[in-house]
Amino acid sequence: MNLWIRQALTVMKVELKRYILGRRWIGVYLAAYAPVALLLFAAIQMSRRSISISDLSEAYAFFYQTFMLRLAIFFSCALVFSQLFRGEILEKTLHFYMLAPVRREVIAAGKFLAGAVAMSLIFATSTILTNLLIYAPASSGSNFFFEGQGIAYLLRYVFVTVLACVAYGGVFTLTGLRYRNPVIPAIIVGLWEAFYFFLPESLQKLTIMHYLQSLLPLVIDRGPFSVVVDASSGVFSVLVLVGVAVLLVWAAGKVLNRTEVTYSAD
Amino acid sequence: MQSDQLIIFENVSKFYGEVLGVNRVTLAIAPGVTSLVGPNGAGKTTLMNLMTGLLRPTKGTIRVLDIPPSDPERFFRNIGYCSQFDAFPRGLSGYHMVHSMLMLHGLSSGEAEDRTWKVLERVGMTDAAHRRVAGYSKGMRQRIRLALALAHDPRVLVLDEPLNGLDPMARAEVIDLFRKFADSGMHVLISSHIMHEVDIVSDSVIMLSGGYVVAEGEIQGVRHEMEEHPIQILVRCDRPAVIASNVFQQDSVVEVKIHNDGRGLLVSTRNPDRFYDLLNRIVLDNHIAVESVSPADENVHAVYQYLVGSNGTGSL
Repeated sequence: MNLWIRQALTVMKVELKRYILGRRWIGVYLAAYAPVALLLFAAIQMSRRSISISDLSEAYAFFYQTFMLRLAIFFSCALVFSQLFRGEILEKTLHFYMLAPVRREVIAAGKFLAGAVAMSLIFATSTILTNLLIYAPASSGSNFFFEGQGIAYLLRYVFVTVLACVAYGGVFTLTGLRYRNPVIPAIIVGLWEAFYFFLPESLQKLTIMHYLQSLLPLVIDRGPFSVVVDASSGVFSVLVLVGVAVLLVWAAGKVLNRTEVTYSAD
Repeated sequence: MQSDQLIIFENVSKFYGEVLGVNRVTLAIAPGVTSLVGPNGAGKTTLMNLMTGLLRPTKGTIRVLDIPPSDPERFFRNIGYCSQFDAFPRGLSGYHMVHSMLMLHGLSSGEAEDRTWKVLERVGMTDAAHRRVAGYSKGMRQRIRLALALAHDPRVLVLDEPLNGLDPMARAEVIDLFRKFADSGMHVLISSHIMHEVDIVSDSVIMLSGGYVVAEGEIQGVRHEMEEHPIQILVRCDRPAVIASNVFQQDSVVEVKIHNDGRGLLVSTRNPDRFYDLLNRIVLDNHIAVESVSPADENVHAVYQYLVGSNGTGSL
């Protein structure tokens, strides 16, 4: 295996070992699994009702696009990826990586991969569980999955979840390294992404949310003041999202190249 | 000596904003044990962090074995740095730290495992290897830092206060280890405030004060260049008064003190070579039994005191 890939995987394994069961991620687990618990409770209370599948699909689309994408995944990514390097600086442990014979871009890639793998696993399972649970009370829920579009919808939601973790991960890997206080860029990016549908078409295409939205199975109504823009093609959207992440992680590596270990100044 | 065997600083300055770290440092450090000496704020750690690429110079260039710090893949294969930073990544054991670092060096898992155990044995940490570093004592953390610096067999070993936290037995072992590394052709750079230990092991010394290099080279050479401070020579013998009465025929002898026990004297001279010639004649002519003759102030501590007017203790 190529040395850079082995090094990136080593960094990823170390990072996963350090953080995945740490207290720092409690907020992430809550954001991901609290909706699962709520929907499980609702499913038990409302079992076997004749609810329309299309109503449930719209309800899930609304829940996924407002809560999951804009709040849970976005802010969890902000929390986790911003800390990839900022956390090292605050804990005074960055020098361990900086003394390794590894290209800085490879360190950035390894750390990003750790965050992306962990976040994708956490939110993909949350997406699968919430999606299954929302259809659980409906008497025709199983038909929707076995004979209808249920599985296709579910796979697209999971795919978008993973891409959201990757793209936002790229953004916050860079801002976490570039800014001493990553909260401010997180708020700015958060507002830009949350209200992207009020932006003119050309600016909407500069948001990650536009491309994520383009891949979702259902579009929700944004109200009378939203600017409706045609969805980008699926392949183009995927390329943009992955490309943005790669570019930002590479930029983070370049920033890391210029980073000095002066903990007292941070 | 060729540049691929030297650590070269060319007119290096480092400022933290407006605060001076080190200024106009020009050095060519040859293999062997080199000690960095200076009190708090002298610039020892700054110099080490510059040497290991953790800091970038504000001005000037640094090359270690002809490799610039901007090439981390080659640079850090050749350097091991035992820093003073005492924090460790959470949740990892000593074994895991060393093993992961070796994996980053490109070793296979099996090779890394073998080397990890070897280096942990070398620093006496095999028993606690699988305990989390967070539960280690200060001395154990110091040993793991040493293990991390040594694990990949670097050609340059940079050690910032490496003896801190070690018990006297371990200090002696570690010093012996450094000597062996230097004898095998490695660069070993040590900063330590325990001057007599540094003195025993060092081939050369770099003395820092206020961010400037005030002297560098072999300690004897540095001492001999300080003409304003006469060299002190201690002579233990059976009739010191006879020697004392004879040495004043030499202009270069400026002071003689006879020991209270009547079995020795301390001579201050500006020309030690002439003094040794004279001493030989006096001893032979007067049949004096000499127990020992040794320089009394050719050590790091004395030289630092003369140069900077400080005792040189403490660390950056």
